Amino acid sequence: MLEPWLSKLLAVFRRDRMDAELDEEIRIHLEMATEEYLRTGMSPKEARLAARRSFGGVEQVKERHRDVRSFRWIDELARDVRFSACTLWSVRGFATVIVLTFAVALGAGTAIVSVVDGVLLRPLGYTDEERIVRVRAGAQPAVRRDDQGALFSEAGYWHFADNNRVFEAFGGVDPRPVQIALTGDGAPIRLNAIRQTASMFELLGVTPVLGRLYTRVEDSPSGPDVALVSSRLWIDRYGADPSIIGQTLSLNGRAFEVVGVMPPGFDFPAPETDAWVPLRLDTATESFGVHYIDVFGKLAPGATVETATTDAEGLISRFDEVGYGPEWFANAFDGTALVKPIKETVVGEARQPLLILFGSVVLLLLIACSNVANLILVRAEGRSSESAIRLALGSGRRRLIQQDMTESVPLALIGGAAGVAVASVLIRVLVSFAPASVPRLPDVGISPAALAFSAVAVLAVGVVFGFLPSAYRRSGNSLDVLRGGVRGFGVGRERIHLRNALVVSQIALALVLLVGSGLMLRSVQELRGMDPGFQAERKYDGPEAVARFYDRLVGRLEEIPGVTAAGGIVTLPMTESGTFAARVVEGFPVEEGELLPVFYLRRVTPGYFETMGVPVLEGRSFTRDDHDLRLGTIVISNSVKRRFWPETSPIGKRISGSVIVGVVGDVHGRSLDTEIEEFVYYPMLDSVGGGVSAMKMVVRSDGDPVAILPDVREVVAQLDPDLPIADVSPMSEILADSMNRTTFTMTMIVLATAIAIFLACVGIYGIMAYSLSQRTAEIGMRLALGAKPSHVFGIMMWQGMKLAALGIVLGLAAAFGLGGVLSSLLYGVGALDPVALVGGAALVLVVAGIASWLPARRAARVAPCEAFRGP
Amino acid sequence: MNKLKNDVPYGTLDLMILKTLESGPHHGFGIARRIEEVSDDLVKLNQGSVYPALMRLQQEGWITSEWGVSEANRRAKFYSLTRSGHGQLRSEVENWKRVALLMSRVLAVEP
Repeated sequence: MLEPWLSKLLAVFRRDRMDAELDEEIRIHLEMATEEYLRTGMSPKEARLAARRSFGGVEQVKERHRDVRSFRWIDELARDVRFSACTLWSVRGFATVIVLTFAVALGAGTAIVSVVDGVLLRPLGYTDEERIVRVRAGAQPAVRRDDQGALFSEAGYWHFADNNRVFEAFGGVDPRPVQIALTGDGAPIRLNAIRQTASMFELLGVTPVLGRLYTRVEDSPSGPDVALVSSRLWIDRYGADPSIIGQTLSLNGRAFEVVGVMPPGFDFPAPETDAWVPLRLDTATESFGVHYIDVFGKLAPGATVETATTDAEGLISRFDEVGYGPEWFANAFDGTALVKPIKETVVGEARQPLLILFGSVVLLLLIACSNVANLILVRAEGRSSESAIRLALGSGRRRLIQQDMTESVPLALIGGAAGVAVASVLIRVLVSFAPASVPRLPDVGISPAALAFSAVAVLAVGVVFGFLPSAYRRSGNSLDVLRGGVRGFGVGRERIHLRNALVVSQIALALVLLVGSGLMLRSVQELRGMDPGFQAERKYDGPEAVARFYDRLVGRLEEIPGVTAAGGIVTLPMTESGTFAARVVEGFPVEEGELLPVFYLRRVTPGYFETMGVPVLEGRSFTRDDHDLRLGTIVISNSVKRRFWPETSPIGKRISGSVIVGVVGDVHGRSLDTEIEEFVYYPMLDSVGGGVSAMKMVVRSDGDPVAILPDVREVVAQLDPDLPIADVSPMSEILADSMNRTTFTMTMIVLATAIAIFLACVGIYGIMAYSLSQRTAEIGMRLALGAKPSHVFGIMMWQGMKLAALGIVLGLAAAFGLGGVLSSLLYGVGALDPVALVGGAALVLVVAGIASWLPARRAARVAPCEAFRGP
Repeated sequence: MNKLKNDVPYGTLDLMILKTLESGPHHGFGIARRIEEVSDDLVKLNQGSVYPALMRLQQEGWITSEWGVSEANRRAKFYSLTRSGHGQLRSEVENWKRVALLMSRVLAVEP
């Protein structure tokens, strides 16, 4: 014999059979009883009655039997589930819409949250990374490029290293990746190499998976050429061969000995870094003119960002010990220090847009919930007469709620499962379309946090929405509903109000969202429309070239058919930052306590300006003689001229001994949304500041740039077979890529809001169409009483549009109110941008119009008798 | 005791059924009639109420059922006591006797 609880459980599954058996037993019982009464002389009819009477209530017995044989709640649940499955199938359109809404909203939300989590929130993986900070010096507005602060010079670095009181570890990095050619062992490839101090590794707490790190001794100006390589490089090119340790790599023609392999995923300071070489800072240096070192420190126990900032500011104020004169404090350093935790520096730029992305996801979910809620309420209304009858027959309210739950929870669960599938697909898509410059993106998968959140949200929504129909029922009296509802028309005033309120709120919410996304779209549009300062089409950013080959290369490149110009520069616009340094401007002596002006320096080959389409505004650009004869000439950008010689000509004037021979147009140096920088251009081989090891070549073609690429490669190969061509891309792509860092997140915002807009439109349409269709009976009555179809149509359209108008007004009011929230993220548009507001309102009007028109048309055509039949 | 119809608590009905089955297998109708007869028709139960009770007793493992043929050559479901059912009956009877004894003592006390 089975345990009682087990047989109760099993009884759930043998329900029908047990019911049948009981029926049989009861039937037999009644027959026997009837026979007995017959024997006492009753008539058959009397006997049957008597048998029934002595039996008692048959239904009640059956009920009690069911109660006894199984857990009541399981039994009920099983019954409800079966019932719900059946009813949901019969309204599978409705069910599908709900599931899809859930899936889309939850999927997009989860995907976006996962990306945010992967990029922003996940730890970077360094030991004690909360204590690792980056230190930069605050810069005066004249030299300020962005809010990130200024890099340090060598002397400045040592000043900090020796005198700080808050760091237990200290290191420096040259943040500009050196792009080097790796030759031997296969085709030449281009690597990103980073120069950093030996102490950086200790600071980050990373150890190599193979070999060792380079030591401080090796990291001195006279140390050996050693390098560390990434796991990625080791696996891809060397097949994870352990004998790589001790091997010599040829980097840019120099032999480096590989001493270690870094762990997989170690990407400091930027994605796709493949080699690390010593920074070779000279402790005896007195160089404080060139600022190129990014300083990192690990806070000692007890130190905080605040104490570190104070300490750093103290050290900066003592920069005179290093050799900085007072003019530096007047014009370059503003005395503050910017100390930021390392994670912030990696993802910092992305923070704000990503937070707004959260906001759009929330709005998206809100719209989805509102849609689903409306659908459920609408359906509850449609079944209100059925519910009223059941309540009147004695079914408890709790029972009805339970049944509502068995509908809403499975829908929510299915929607949630579908949403997870959507999310994983969407994440793959997002990752593959994103540029590599978004940090840590390739590692993103569905984050456990997002998954957990989705699961909880789905369940919560399923349960809460299960309560909606009962909330709706509570608002109406059963009797009224029966009186009014059963025959299908004359719906109560309350219900009309509720319906209208739903329509209006749906429209208002949708409008707010539309306006929000409209503002985003406009911002992106403004950003892309800005003139970068040079013509971006159809040029190639060609391979690195070692300096001594450059002019040969330029000459050969210009010989390629289809090439109209070629040139080279160290640091292309729209990529990295490059060096800045102080220069003396002739005719502008600096007073006591003022600083020398600071400019960004660039080296160019002949033909660079022509190739890039930068116009020569005054004087001339470089000729071959400037390069070959080292005439000491320079070319300045227009912003420099405007600053110093707005009315006169700068030609012939000198900057730090070099003669100005020309003025060229301004160029955006780093990205479109930073300010225009003041450039001083030097010829390639000028002796100022030493030589250069790598250049980027630009080539302008009059046709499709891709077509000349083989010729470009050929030329390069002929000049130096060991020279890899890497990173060849049309300038238009480089332009696009620089914007991508911020617009990637903006693209996701647009994506989220696009989905939300779509859902909003679907929601508006759905609820308006339903609302109007509920009045079919009323329409039939009007028609039967002689109203013209066109008249009826007019009424319905008018009423629909009235609701839409009300919704739009409310939505606009809300948009005005919420505008301030978005304004910090927008670019080039105000929060009350008329285009967005008008566009949003127009879209809503159109959708509402369609949503009124179609059902109104259908209703006006309906035959009156059909209308009376009711829902 | 004059019990109103359908006023028989679970426990007592179960006991009456078990007792009835002590003498051998019966079908549902038979059990109901037997109980009525033995109590001299003082117990007017809704005959149908035996069926839920029978299901419960079956789940507890005290009775078992089998389809068979009645004396009138009619198909019917017959119930019979199991071994544990016999044991349960014995202990229930003991219980009742003890309660009855206690009650009689308590009620016999003069105020």
